[in-house]
Amino acid sequence: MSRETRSTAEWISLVISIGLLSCLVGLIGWLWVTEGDQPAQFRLELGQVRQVEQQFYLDLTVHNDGDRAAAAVEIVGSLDDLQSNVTLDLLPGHAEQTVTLIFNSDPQSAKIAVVGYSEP
Amino acid sequence: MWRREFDDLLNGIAGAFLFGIPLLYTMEVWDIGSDLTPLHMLLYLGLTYVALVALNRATGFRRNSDETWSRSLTDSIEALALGALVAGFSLIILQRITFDLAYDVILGKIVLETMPCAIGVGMANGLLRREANDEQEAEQRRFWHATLVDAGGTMLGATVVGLSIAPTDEVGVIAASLPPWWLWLIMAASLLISYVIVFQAEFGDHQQRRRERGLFQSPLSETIASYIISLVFALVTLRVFNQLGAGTSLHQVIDYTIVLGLPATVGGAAGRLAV
Repeated sequence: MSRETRSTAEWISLVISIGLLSCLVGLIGWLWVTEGDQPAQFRLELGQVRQVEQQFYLDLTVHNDGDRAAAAVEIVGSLDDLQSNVTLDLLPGHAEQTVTLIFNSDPQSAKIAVVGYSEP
Repeated sequence: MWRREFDDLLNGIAGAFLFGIPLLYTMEVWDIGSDLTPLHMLLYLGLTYVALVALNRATGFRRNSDETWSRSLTDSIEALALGALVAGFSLIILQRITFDLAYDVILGKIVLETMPCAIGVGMANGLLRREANDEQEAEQRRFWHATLVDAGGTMLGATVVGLSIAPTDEVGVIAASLPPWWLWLIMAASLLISYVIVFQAEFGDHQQRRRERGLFQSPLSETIASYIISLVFALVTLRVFNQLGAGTSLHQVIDYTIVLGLPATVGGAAGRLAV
């Protein structure tokens, strides 16, 4: 183990490393400062309807506009006394996920809502 | 000078993959990462840094450096940054982070996976450095013997890692979220990582090439041969655990095999180092 002075190359990797970690730590700090504690709240965005034989597939995007995550988010679509539902395992705060509900007739007039969730 | 620094950094990256890959394929770590508060993220980074300073006193990732305190402190910064790079890269390759995720989810996953990866960087010398007498022993081997030993090591390593990941749900979860062309990226990453590990284990210290090393003679042919062996053993372990059966589509067989091929080839490289 010889005692050597730090080479230019080593200085450069050190500077880049410090830069990279500062970005990471800075981003975390920014998260911390801007972090809210709003409970989960949902917004639904309807997408395309695809017809496959006699069934209608409705894509929709579920947004969680709150800060806290939600687990077991249940989405129910009702159409003429028939219900279609789907459950999301986990939807973190400010995240979105696309789900699909399947109906037996054209879901133009379907009522779709998030009906419940649990704390993760 | 540049060459040596590059070697040291690659050495660290190889260590990160060797040590970090099992946790990169663990769903629980992704989930826990998604749920970290900023305070915990900073705390975990700090803890990892402390562990790295201790590791750097003992092994570290630079091959020829003096062991002063200031050196340990700065090397640990670099190890942490390398760990974060490897964690971020792997999570992107496995599509565990995409840009439609919330920032805290992305950062949390990166921070949590950075822990094992950075520890791997800190242990790189211990994991990868071969002793000088090992070299001499290797030179005495005959062609087929050398080939068999390397192939055996690859099979052993690939099977051990394959067995620990194949029965879990991660392979399916990752495979299901990937578009087909993404598999090329995973293959490229597997070959690249395997090459880096092989290259570091054999050439990192500018040691002379060994002669008579059999079919695994050049780093390139060694990388490709070991990748193929690893894919075969990934396929075998998937079959053993019934992840693939008679009713499985060819599409799924290819998906699963290539997704498991990445950790298997890292395991294979580790196996060759171990024998």
